[in-house]
Amino acid sequence: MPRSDSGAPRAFSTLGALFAFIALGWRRAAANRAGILGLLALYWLILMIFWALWQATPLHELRRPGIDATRLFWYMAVTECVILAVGFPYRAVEKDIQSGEIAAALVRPLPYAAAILAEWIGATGYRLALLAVGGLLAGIWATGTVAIPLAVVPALVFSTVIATILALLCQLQLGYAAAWVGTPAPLFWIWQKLTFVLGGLMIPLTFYPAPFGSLAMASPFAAMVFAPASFLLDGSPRAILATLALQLLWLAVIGMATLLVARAAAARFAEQGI
Amino acid sequence: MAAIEVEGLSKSFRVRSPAAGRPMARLFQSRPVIELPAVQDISFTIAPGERVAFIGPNGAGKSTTLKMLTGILRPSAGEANVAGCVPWRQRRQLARRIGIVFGQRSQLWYTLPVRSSFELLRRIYDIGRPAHQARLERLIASFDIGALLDRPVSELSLGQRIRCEIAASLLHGPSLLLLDEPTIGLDVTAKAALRDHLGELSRAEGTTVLLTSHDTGDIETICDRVIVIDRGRLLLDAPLESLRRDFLQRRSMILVTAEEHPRFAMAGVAVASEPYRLTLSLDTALAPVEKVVAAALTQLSLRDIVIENPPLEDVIKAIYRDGGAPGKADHAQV
Repeated sequence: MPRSDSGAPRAFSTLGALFAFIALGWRRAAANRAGILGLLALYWLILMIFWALWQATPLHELRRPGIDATRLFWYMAVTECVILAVGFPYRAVEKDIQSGEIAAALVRPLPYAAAILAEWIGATGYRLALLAVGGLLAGIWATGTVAIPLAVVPALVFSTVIATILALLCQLQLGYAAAWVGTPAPLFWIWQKLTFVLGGLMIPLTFYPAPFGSLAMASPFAAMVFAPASFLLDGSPRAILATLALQLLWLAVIGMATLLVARAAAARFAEQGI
Repeated sequence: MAAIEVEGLSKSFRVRSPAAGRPMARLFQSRPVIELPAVQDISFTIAPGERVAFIGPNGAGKSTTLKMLTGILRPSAGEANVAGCVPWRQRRQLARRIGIVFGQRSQLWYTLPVRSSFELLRRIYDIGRPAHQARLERLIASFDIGALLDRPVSELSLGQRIRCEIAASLLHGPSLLLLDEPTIGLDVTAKAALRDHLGELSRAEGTTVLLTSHDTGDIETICDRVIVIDRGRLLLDAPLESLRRDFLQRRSMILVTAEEHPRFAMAGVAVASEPYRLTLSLDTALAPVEKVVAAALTQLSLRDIVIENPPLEDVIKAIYRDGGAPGKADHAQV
């Protein structure tokens, strides 16, 4: 087994470096206090607006058993938590490519994509933890209850982690798109709108008319947003397993696609320069 | 084994020719792809411990060559072996053996204190803590960066940042250091300090140095061999002494005087006079700088002295004029 300078097997040393980047992301997110407070304020504002909206909506006319304003509030607390925690970090990769700073990262023994993804995971983890606490407090204050069955909490946490990693992988691809299109902002806008609509950010995909609901649920966007929140609508073991299986499938597909995009970008830099 | 071995290295970039005509017509225009040669058929070998300046004017192909040697650019033709690796095939393996500084790009984390950047690099290169600490202490002393460690990189001056960048590139103890324009944008004092630190450290540790620059001052202080490249082609590969003898012997000196109509005369010195100012062009073989300064101090009442190295463009013109000076250089390859 190849060993590093410190004597540890190379694979462990790479993992150690990635953990250092996760910690860096966490620390950087924590240092941005104004940003975090702004994010929390925005989160509460969105939740309160929709809470008022759901209360004013005759939801019983939908004839969907178990769907009420409280449940929809908690559904959206989860979807918005994922979206706001992820943010739009693709711009860091775009900036590195446009400025040429990526050259300094490419001459290190740690892959650039892995390092930046690890940093994003750290930063997103911090925001996710803080928004989760904020959402919980907002939910208790608004609805007077916690409409998350205790039995689904482990699956909800696991699914939320996969959802955010999926979204971060997509953002990494969007950042790398700068190698071909210069400014990937238009691609990001399209991706973001698809995430909102096909991910069921505000309304559960089960509300969508056929065949759009089924199509949206099979899409990767549902795995990024709808999946964890869906446990609040259907917490049966069968639904949870099916949702997690679909998420893991998308994780494999999007993970592979990200690897290919990163390799294609590196090949382009090698041919065309940075 | 050579530290760097380059054989027939070439790089061309494929670019689309610019669009012409009305804006709407441009949308539907098919633009042919043209090959733009950046580096053409260069060969050289650098032995371990050598300090080599790779110089040329802007756009000569210096950075392109350096990027090929680090593996982030793939050549169109030719071969290279750097520290035992083929750079574009073994980029990550090579990264552990070399240190790189891009003068205009930072490898440090902008918002983090320098110490945290060094710690991250320790984790990336997986250096054991005791070895890292010992190395860091040595680099802190060499580059005089002790007072900078707890300051964020964003708060450092350019000169301070570059010193930290070079220390960062040496943290993992590379046998080869590649420096791309390390003194660009630095003031005279910062340049001099950096050159001294770098020269001392490379001599003490036997690190091979390949330095690109278009500042002839960098070359004279740090290097003992010079490779000149222009328009992608190797123009001269010679020891510093031969370049100094043949092409760097002229210096400009500006004397600002108290006298309105100053007069100065000395063998080997051409003088241009203006009110309160003399511009001297010295042939240092005949009139060494220190002797000219001493003579000026006795003949004139001086208010200021500025000594300038010949611009690289003039050196290159002189090399072209002398047909690459193959006979003058001790082992020139043209």
